[in-house]
Amino acid sequence: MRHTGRAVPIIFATALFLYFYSESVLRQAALSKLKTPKFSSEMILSKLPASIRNSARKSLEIGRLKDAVRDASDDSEKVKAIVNLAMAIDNKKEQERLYREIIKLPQIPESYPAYSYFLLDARPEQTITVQDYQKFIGKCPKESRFDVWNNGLYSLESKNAPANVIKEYLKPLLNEPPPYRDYLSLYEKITDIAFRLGDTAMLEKAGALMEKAIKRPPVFEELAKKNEKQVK
Amino acid sequence: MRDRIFAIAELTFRKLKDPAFFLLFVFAASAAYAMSEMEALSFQKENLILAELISSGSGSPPLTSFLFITCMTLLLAIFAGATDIPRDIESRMITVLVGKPIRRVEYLLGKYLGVCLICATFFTVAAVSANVGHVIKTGHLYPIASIIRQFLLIFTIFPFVAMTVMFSCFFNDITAMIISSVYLIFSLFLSVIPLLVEMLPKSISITTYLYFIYYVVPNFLYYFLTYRIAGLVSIALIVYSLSIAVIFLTIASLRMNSRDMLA
Repeated sequence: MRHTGRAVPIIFATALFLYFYSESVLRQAALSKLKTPKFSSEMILSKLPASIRNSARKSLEIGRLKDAVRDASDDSEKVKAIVNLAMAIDNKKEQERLYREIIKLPQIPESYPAYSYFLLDARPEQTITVQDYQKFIGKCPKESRFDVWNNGLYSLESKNAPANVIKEYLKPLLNEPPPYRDYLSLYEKITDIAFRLGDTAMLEKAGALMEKAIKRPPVFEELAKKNEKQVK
Repeated sequence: MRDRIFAIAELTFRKLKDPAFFLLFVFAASAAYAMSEMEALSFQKENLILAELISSGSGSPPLTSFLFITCMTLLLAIFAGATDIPRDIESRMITVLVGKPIRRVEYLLGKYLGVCLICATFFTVAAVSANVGHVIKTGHLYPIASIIRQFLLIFTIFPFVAMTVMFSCFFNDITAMIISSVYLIFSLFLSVIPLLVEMLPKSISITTYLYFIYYVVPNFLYYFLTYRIAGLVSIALIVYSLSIAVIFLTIASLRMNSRDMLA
């Protein structure tokens, strides 16, 4: 009986070893038939279940984005590549590390996701103040600004910033005529906050600018015109 | 010990006298005869990966008629392997058997060998019928290498019967049959996935729970690859079959030893 007690784990372990070993031989034999140019990565992916396919596609995409960061020839290209990579990555720590890297590089309009990420960050050493962010917006081209404004607003809201901070953030928009129709949503936000805080002057001003914004063209029209000119 | 195992195996094998088994044998032999003219297993262009896996390479490919025979044999393995032990427990036959100087492990191995023997006989009868049919219809025999290749499909029996016997040690006959069938379908469904994942570039890191599931089910696709008879793949396939059978039987024996046969 003692012999049997000892034999069972030995037999089991041996069988497991032989199982894994023989399986790997058979797998390699099967793979040797498939490793031909006939099968592209995309074709293989299409045969996999959706969950694995999505994970593999994501992995492929991240690999491409990492290559783009490595191959970037100047700071502007590097910022764009790092932003794309950071936005594709799910790992929050890695994403933050990439955004920190962007902050160290020269400011370009495409850096805005990094600036909005650190906007009013709880850690003083890496926080971006509302004033700094507004200055950054001022340096961006007119047609890019709406996205930057919007991203900053989203960041503040996701950090549960109080209404008066959001009011401060959006205030500069009241000092200039709306360049595009897209700004309507920002003015709506201002009226909402002004109503909550009981600021009638702000409410009236935002209402007037909303009427002006309706008459303006959307951003995409402007961008399309610009692209057309470039093509010509 | 060996005599006692063989005695149980013989007792199990005698079930072949049952008219149901006899009818199944006749059906398999007739069907195999009818399908004997079918060529090597092939797939349409839409299944290029399966086609490449099964048909490409040097050596003998599996024949369609033998795929049918293997499927029928596995079906028989589900019926015979999943029902024998639960029925012996229900009818208290097991208490009579293990009351004699027969250990539970010997009883289990005897049952396993008996069911394997039934399935192997079934496979052989159908295979011989397919070969005879081929000779009668075409006037010539399959090449010897091809015949040996087809007979290697018999190794699917060993892990599969061990698996059904293992389930029958845990559940009643109907449940064991259902679980064995689901397990078989599941293993067929999963068989290509890890191979495809390995074909992707190494830069793509995929960690999936499917890998874990893959390793706990035998990959029956390996039995249908085209390969040379005298080669490493044949040996690996035999080792693969026997090692899985041992793993399943070890789990089954642990369950048998701890189970209350009167409950």
